[in-house]
Amino acid sequence: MAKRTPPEKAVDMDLVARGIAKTVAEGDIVNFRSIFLSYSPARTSSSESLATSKYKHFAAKDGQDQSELFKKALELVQDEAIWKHIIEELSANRPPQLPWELLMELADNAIRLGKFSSAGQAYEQLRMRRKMQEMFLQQGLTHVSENNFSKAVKAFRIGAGLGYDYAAFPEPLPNMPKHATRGLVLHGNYPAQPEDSVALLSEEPHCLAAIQFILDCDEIADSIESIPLEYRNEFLKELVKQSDPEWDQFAERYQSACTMVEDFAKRMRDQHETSAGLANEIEEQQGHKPEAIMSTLLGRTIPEGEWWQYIKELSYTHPAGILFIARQWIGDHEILMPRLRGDSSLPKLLGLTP
Amino acid sequence: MTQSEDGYINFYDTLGLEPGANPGEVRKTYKKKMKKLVMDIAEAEITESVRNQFLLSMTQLNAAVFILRDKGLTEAYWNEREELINLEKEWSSVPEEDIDQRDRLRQRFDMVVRHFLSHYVEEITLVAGLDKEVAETSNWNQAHARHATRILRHYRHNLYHDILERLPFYEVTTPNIDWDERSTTTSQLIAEGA
Repeated sequence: MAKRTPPEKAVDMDLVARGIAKTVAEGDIVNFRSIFLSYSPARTSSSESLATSKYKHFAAKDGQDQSELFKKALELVQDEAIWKHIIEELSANRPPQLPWELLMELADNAIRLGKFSSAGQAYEQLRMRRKMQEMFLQQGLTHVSENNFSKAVKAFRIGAGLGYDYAAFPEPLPNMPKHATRGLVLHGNYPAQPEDSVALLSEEPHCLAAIQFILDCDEIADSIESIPLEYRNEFLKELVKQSDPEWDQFAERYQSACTMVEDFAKRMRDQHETSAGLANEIEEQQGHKPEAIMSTLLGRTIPEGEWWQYIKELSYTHPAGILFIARQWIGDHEILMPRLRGDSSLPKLLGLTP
Repeated sequence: MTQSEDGYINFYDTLGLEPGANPGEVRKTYKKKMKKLVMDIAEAEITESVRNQFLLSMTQLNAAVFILRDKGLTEAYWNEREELINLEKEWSSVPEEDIDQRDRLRQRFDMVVRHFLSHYVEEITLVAGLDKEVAETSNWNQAHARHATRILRHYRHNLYHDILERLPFYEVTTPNIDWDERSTTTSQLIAEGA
């Protein structure tokens, strides 16, 4: 029996245009590409429809179609040459060729909305990612020299966000910060001497380590090092502010943890003088729980949490914070506690000390 | 090396020899270069990037001697490389309007280039480390191989990227980029909300 060819469905091209415009306006590379896929509902060969609830993510949300970004994207989609190309690609039976104008607009919008990895993928497809990254970093350095740290940090954050990991398996992927993993590596070895901990590095390398840790992009390491020494502290302050909106709360908790450690140290000294049992003293001070210092730093208690669990979570929530703590054995427990260098101006600059 | 050969790893260049050099010359040059590399490593202050660079140089020298001292391997390698270079030329010369022919050549090229790079940048370099002569000269061991895996993957993708940069666009229509406009846009994007 001859195979029956299903009747071709009618596609609402206005819906397609608005769907594409939405993905461009939102800097959404994944859904933008999906509209052109061989099984896309925007093709007549597909049995599915963009009008169904399954594809409601392609429909503009309330009032979104009034936004400037959406209007500009829709205008671009409906440009005669681009629209003709879109229709050709949606009806051709081969891998689609995406219109570069839309991809570029999508990438710019993704940056506007802070979706740097999406922008990176779009620029990469346009083979201009490295050059765009260089441009952002170059402008960042210019703003540093003009003492405009707000713009400088933003430029560096975008530059880092456009990073690509060419060693990713199986294919290169946008570089994502791996603070939780790198935080563990940073504190992987127990400091045999207090000075061995990262928190007690001298001011200059400490500041550089903090900037590199927060931006976490190997590709831009050289650009970070070319930030002049005299501007690095201010740069770090602004970087912490922009990358960690809840830093102030952390700084407050850090100060409380410092007070706990100082009280603890004072009692240990007193205890030494009165020669009473240290275990009793700890119990009196903290209910036999020196982990309270870690909980204070994190802002919550991890049930039966070990120091490394706190490190992982702290690295994720407050990346800069883990550069000012160290591991410490107390009795049978290993905990994290604040550790500061007296001659460094960084803690005060970041609000970690009053 | 001509522009169209960038990215297609040339093991003769790695050893600083002319194509067709005999196995004796290959071995002699390899030993000399490896000795110098080992001395450089001993004298250098080792950071992560320096270590990666040394490891990459070591893998390339190992792969070069492993292939070029063997006539059969050399012939296969050189033929594959030549085929790839010719394929790139052929693809690049097809007019933009001939979409079907371009797509056919693109698919073939993509398959061949991926195989070439993964074979000669990753597989062969790791296999070379298992060879007795190579392992003895370079002090190659399992720890080297473990570290090298990621470095070689990174290097392979960089080479692929370098090749891709000069090829005709296929996933996207050929962009017409105005870099002055890009510079202005970059400034605007930084200024928004900063």
